[in-house]
Amino acid sequence: MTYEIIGITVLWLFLYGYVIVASIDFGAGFFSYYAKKTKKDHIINQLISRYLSPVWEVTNVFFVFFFVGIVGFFPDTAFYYGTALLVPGSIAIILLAIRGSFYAFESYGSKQSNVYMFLYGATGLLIPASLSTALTLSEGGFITETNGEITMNYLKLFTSPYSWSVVFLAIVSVLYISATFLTFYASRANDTEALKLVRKYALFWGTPTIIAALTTFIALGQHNQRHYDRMLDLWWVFGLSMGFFMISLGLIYIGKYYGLAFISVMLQFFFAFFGYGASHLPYILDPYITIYENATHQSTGIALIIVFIAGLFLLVPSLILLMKLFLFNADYVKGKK
Amino acid sequence: MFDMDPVLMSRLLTTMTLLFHIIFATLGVGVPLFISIAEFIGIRKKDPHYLMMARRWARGFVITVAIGVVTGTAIGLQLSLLWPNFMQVAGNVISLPLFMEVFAFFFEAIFLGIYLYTWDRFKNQMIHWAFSLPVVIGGGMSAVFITTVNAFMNTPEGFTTGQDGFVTINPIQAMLNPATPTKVFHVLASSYVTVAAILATIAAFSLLKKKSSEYHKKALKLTMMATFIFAILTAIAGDMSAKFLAKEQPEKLAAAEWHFQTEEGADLILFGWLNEQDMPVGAIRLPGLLSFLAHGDFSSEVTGLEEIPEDERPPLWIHYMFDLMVSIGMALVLIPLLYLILMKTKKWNEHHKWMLRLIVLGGPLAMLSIEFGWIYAEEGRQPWILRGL
Amino acid sequence: MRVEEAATTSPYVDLMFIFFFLLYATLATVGIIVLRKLFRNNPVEVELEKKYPSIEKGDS
Repeated sequence: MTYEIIGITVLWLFLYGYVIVASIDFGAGFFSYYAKKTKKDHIINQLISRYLSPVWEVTNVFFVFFFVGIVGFFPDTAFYYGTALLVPGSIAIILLAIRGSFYAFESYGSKQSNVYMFLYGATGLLIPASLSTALTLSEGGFITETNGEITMNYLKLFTSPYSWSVVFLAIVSVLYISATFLTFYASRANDTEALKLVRKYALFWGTPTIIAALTTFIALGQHNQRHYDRMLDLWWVFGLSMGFFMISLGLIYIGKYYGLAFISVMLQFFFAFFGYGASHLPYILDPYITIYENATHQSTGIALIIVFIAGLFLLVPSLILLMKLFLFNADYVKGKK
Repeated sequence: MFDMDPVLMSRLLTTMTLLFHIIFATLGVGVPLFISIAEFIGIRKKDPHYLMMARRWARGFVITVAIGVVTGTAIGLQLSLLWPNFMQVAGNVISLPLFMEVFAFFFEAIFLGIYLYTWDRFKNQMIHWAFSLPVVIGGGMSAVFITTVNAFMNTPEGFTTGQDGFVTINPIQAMLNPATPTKVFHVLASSYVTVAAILATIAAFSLLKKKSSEYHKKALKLTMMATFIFAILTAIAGDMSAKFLAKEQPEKLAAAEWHFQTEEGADLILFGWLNEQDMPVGAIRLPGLLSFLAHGDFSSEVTGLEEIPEDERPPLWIHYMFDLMVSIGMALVLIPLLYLILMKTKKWNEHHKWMLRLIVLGGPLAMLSIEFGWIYAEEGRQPWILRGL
Repeated sequence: MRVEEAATTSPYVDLMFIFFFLLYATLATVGIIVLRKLFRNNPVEVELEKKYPSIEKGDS
């Protein structure tokens, strides 16, 4: 395995981690706003804030890891994506900033306010939509280079069926991941009323997730034939993803083993995400950046990998401790501590 | 959009983000240290006042951390969005400490979460206190790593270039470039002194409003002693930085000091302004002191701006930034010194109205000094983004 | 590498400047309001008494 492959795998892992933890957070924002609108907030908001309060910062760091890492391993991404993404990137930062800080203001500072709740809910859907644009762009055709000048074709982006199907997929996935996690968390907390509600959300958002995934797949076929063919070569990975989706939905439907159901959801997205990533290679930006031609110098790449491994030895035990204290500590989850 | 020059606007946007972020970054580095100290004293002396101090500081700290996190994310992304060509080149060499910085911050964030939500969860209070240590260390290390990146922009090292870019790269050497030691020392010491001064401001302000309160008096004593110690360390770090500049980046020192001709026994010029012939007017001249600042010897030779090609000279207005930074730094040694003298002398009252008013000024001034210092550091590197490359 | 060689060529930086200015202004304002509320509504004397009732009156 070359250091380029290790590098992109590490980065993809971080992005996968971000997709999972951030989806839980983004979806929770939407659900708590929705619950407020339908006058059911008293049932689930306590549950949501007990989980989110200690971990919100950790979520953000996964994202920072990804973009610092990708510029480190593949510095040319800074040039292409940096130039092209000024506007959408800035908007995403502003949304993330509003969400992160206002969440802290609300939960540590004052009592509930409608404006905070609205921002918290709305950004939960807008951020995944705007961030998913980066994945759309990576398929090529939207960013062009002429004589060293990078231009981005916004008209094409906004009229492309592929681009919209990705946005749709991002939003429904967020809601599905979040709902299944909250189902698991509510069952741990023995909160039957909340469980009933979030289980309903989970069952509702399951089907749209799969429909969106298939639509995106078909739209990709029309946008980037090469990538589409490579995905067909890896059909078994997506088959596994589908299988885990069935398991998760089945378990939630019969109303047992919610922990296993959430792990199935994580595996469903793991296989889909890595199947997508593997078939995307060698391109990071079709056709300008490949992992082989545009990787950083070998010594930097190896240094980054060493730091990454050393960092994991530090972080994994810390994260386990965090989860033991909050996520898997029955008394804490039930609100006794 | 409005036909403004993208280079100018990129500089302004980066400046605005950094000036805003540095306030919260400084608090993020410094406050955990004082929370940790207060809780430790509280547990040791079984004094609820100190425990309450740790709790209240921590509660306020969370709000500033939130802003620090989101503005930190902003500057992290803006580096690539606004300076794509810089990151494309520098990313090859200097991404290692950027990556490490994120790890350090991650570590800090995890334990901050634990610390904030486990106040009464352990029988042994020392376990809870121990969770503050990774927060202190994580915050400090974040500052160290990110400062090495800034140091690299001033004195890039650790690579060789050929026709198609980099031939060899040594990321460790790039991190430990000549500017790193003094810069890291200066950043850490000044963060701690600033936070100590700000916490002292809060205590003094409360004392002025509510008169005598044992809680605030204890807080004031703790933070004043810390201000004194860290202000002296900051002054030492500043002196070392000046000696580093004289050796490695003479144009930055010369522009800050309005030192045009290379000469021995150079005077230190404080404030004043420049006339049409670029001669300092109305300034305070301290004979030989610039030579002493630069080389530790009153008669040594200091490189003047004349030796630097005209298009490589930093702007001359940074003189004021430097002088303001140093003046405030001096004040931050003198204010706590006065407080300590008043405290040690039985007959005098260290909680006198005017003493407290002076202390109230200290915190905001210290934060201003951080801002002036960074403006000086960044403008003093102009026109370069990677000096000399 | 000089600063002007490093900057983006995008014409939208000025617009982003305005957006970020508004963001930072909001963060600063709301942050200050929240901090003031946090400590105004919860003075140290009250909190000390609640948390450590054993503490002597007048001592705090």
